[in-house]
Amino acid sequence: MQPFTKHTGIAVPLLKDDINTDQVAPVQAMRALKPDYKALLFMRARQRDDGSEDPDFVLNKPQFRNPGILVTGHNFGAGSSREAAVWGMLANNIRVIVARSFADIYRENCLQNGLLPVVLAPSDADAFEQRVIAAMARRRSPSISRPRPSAARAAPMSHSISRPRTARVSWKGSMTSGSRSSTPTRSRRSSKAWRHRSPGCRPRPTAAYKA
Amino acid sequence: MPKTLFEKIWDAHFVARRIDGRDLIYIDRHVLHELHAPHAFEQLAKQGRKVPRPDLTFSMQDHTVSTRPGRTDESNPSGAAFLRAMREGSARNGIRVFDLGDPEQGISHVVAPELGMVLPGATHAVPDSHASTVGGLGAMAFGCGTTELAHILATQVIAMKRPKSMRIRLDGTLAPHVTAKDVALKIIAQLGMAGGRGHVVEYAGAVVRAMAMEGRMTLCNLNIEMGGRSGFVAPDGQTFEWIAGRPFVPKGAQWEQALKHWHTLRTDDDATFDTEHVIDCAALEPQITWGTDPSQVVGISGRVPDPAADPGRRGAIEGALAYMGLNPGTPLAGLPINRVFIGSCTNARLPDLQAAADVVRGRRVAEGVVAMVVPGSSSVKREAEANGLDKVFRDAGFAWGESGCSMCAGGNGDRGEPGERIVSTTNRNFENRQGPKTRTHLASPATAAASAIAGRIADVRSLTGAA
Repeated sequence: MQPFTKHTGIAVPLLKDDINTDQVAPVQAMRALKPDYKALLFMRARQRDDGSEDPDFVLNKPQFRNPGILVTGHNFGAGSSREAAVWGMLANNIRVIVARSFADIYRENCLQNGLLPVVLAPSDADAFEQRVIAAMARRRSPSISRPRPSAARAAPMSHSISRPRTARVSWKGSMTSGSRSSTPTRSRRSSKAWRHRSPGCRPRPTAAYKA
Repeated sequence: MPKTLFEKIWDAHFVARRIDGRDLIYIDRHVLHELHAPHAFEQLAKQGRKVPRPDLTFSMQDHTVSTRPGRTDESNPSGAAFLRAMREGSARNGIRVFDLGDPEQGISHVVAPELGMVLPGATHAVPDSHASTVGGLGAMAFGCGTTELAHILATQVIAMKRPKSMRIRLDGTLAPHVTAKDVALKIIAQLGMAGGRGHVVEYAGAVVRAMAMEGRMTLCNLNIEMGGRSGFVAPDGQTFEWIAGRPFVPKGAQWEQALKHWHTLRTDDDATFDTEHVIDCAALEPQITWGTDPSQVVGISGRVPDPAADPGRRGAIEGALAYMGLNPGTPLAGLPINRVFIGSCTNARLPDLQAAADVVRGRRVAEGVVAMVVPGSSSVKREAEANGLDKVFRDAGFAWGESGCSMCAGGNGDRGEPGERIVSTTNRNFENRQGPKTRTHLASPATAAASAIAGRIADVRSLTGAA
């Protein structure tokens, strides 16, 4: 995983609620084990019925051809747990999503891949969205840096627009180091230890069933 | 200190807390499917990690498999690579595969309970958002992505922030032809797409107690559609009776020991939940979706909503109506349809097929309507055939498929044509999910069957004279 230190990029407003992972990464675009993750991102919305590019979709607009930050609404990433919906963002160099809220599994998948999910306090979110919309015309690129190392779990975020105090970014250790936020070796050790002290109150699995 | 059942199961599986604040929770059973597992096998191979508990892990071929009789890997050309990678990765790691041709192959969420892989009070993980289906048995199940899947394979623990607890109490008695699917759609309509976000949900109340095990699974299956992290029903006598004797279930003295433990699996009387909801289901009628997410629901006698009446959601409603080709105020019942799909982890267990067959028996699918039934597992298919249900469906003009996820997400190529209006017993009516530009209405098997016969969205109660 690429470590998250500082990311500067064009902020793209996709200000809708409940955008689901079928929209982000359609299953029909995952017909190969290694599909083109760059092309599958919002594949349906990018195309018109005849297969040509839809100039009205925000990611097709000239100023958003090289996105870096997605700014969106509530419950982003609802639906399927498919991690391709995160890989598609990274393939397009989107390393930060600023949403009003995230669906649980999508947020977990973001943190596994160094895609920073940011939730701003409502007042900051309003201001941020307004600045992004205003910047749309001026082509300014708001940037987001990692939280300062000393910051606590409710880490302040610095970006060129404002310094909201309440952005919720947890698991920052692994995000900034670039290691997967799941560290298998350590977990395995704990799990082994736990099994040894398990009281055995729950039935353990018996011999493998043969059909 | 009184505890909720969620807390009891979570605490019993708690291994350690990571410095990032997430808990490591032991996973009793891990079921994989071929759409996502190959990538995790690849990650493991790259990292040189092994699967320490292949005996707790099972591989299921379900998402990309063809539903055609006599199917092979190539029957769905784009699925072949997934099926092979699944087979190879599983073999390399000593994991049993329920492959094409296996008498127990089927949708993971259907097969796991069927074979007793999942037990009350157990934890369960699947790289699939509908993992909590098995919550119907009183198990706590988590869906996850590919990276966490690899982590569980390597460690047998899932890393997760401890969710909040929610209880949804369902009061009343369901009217005839009103099913678990209708209850679930009602809940999602009421709580919204994110109503369960960050929560593990316990479904309780008179409706749940009276509900058959398969209905409880349908209820828990749809938990993710309101954003719930997991959802379950506390086990009871019916649960124990249902799982007794299934292949992976403990036997003899172990069964007695398990039963004793399972009787403690209930929320203590004085325990408190972070969030509680009470929904009266006494007057509930069959439900159906009108829009492009599972919270856009009305009763079968209802009408398409007017965006002007809901200023807060006006844009979303207008967008959904445009996609669905509907006008405000149109009654749902009577809308002409092109296709009906009865299947998926939501509604393809034997009682679902029985309910649909009861409606279909002696009738014909309306001309011009394409109708298909895909059993949730090979075992459901066998039982249905033993009961003559396949004949009922075939005689009526339904296609009768081999088991798999099929048209739910169309991962196997089964799908509708652009512009088609579909009544489907699945879980998601998202845009383009059942094929580009398809218009999906989610409903119960009985409503789907009645609609196939009528050629229009139909109230099953008027077809059967129960209204």
